[in-house]
Amino acid sequence: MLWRSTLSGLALAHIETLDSFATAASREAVRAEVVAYVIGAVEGLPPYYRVPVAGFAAWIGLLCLVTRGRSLADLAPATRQRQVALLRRLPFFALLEKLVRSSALIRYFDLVPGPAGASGTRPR
Amino acid sequence: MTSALAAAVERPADRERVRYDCEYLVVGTGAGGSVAGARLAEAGRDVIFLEEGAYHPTGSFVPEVGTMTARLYRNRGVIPILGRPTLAFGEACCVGGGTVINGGLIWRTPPWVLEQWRAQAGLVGYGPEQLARQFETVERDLHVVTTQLEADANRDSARLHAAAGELGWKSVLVPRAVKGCINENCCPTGCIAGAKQSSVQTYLPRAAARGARILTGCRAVRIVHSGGVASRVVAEVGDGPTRRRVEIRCERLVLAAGAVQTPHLLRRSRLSKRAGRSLQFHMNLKIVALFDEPLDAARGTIFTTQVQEFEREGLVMAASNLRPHYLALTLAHQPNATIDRVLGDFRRAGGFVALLQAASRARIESRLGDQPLLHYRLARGDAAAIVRALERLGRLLFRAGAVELYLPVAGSPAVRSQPELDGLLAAARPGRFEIQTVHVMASCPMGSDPARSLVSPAGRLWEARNVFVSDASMLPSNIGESPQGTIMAFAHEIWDRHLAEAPQ
Repeated sequence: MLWRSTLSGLALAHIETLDSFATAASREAVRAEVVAYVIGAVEGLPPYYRVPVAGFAAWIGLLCLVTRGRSLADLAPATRQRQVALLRRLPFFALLEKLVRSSALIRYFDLVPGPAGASGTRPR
Repeated sequence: MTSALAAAVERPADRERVRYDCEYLVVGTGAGGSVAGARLAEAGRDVIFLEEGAYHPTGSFVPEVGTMTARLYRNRGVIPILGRPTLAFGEACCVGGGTVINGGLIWRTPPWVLEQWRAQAGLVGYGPEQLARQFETVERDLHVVTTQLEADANRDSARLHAAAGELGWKSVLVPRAVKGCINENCCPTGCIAGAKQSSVQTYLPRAAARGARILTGCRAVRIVHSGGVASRVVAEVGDGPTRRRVEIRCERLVLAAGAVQTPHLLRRSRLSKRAGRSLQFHMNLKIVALFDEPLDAARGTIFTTQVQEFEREGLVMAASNLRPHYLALTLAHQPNATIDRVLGDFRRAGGFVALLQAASRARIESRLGDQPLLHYRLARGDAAAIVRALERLGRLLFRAGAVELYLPVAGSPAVRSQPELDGLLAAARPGRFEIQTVHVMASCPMGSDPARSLVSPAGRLWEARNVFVSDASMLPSNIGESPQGTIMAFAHEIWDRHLAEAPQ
């Protein structure tokens, strides 16, 4: 569905420019996990949030198809970043982006080792 | 004892049964509900707990923040309180409720707050002297200890403590419900060491050992009542096509689902129109700081010391957890380059929080379906209070040796000096603040006047004869501190009174 594809693209836009992503061992797995987490977060929202969020994401996806010929998730990373920069001019996009970004980051750092000593947990 | 808890847990979704009966039905298993259920079960009452979330034994906890957030929080921690700015609210949804995901701070209610409640809400019998016995019980039951500064951990807290001393500000070591904390730094997503004494480790096993049953994955959707007497609760189990309803009949109903869900249930059940009209909360304002030398703040735990110089103004300050996830979340309003830069200096980084007693009030809307919608309007005084709080925390951090601060103001640059901090705050617009909250309360306030309160000093809902409230909802106002100690002490007091009045 278009809204899922848009959320996937948006989630990717928020992790693919992190330094650690470039060196991550299994980028495809990280991508898939982060996208699934973000979509799960949106699907878990109450209907009065989920429906407008999905509708807005679908509309953004349509906009992307019309202007770029591809969905946000299928764009090349650099093009995706440019497209997201343009989307930031839209009203309400900041709210959607905040939701996606916080979920994406929280899952991303589960999957990609942080800097040395960053976990805060001692070896067991 | 925790094996008694596991044995008491039942998932109605896995069974055919559609009806349960009990003497006391306790909706919710957090700070207030667990005390209520334990006290009642230990007095020989037939108790059922109803819990929407699942039971996660401590042994199943893992360090992954995203994984645990999905397991222990409602909506994966994503609940907005709409307004300008919109607040990010985190609410537990698991057996043990908020006690599983908090820092385990057990404060006694500040005496001036109790005096305010006596004067304004007419709360008699809830003064410092009367509650002292209840606090002693809570502190004993939860193994509350005063933290100590350690040489090799929590150096962010030690720095803050020392800086407060230099400024002449009051700073104290905090009382926490922990037994053998080994600084795993996972408090908000479930203590993987099992050191934090949540209700899963304390009151719920006690209740279970005395025969209480815990129905999990079971969401209360309606209270059936007539003539001011509740007779049963209708709950939903399962998801999607497997969703079905069960009924739990009870003689007395105890609402302890938290300051959002309790009033939501009351409103949906048409048992109270006034519930949830004025939800109070604290604001968490977080600053990420880089220091002049490595602190290794990740070796530590949440809250070891607390700066209380401005507590009477509704402001306390502390170091907070530090893990890459929290750092990235706190910096989520910054570009990824900033997150990379701070993570690159992780050993020099620290996360700090100013906890502000907000004057703003939120409202709970319950007509939109299963989940309530929350919204608020920023009170005029809160914008200035936020600026003041950030200025004070910033000043303290610079004194503590911070060389670079990232403030919770969307799009703001790093600040490296007091004049830069002052300039940024002077120009900040309230809508740009990034604010979180985890403490909500006072949505069904207790008081002696039925016209101005929802719950009597005995914990009973004024509008019903056999419905009690035993969670953060009942507090007459926000208190400016972590509320778990207050909720538990109030719950003990309520059930002491009830058991004295209604002996078996």
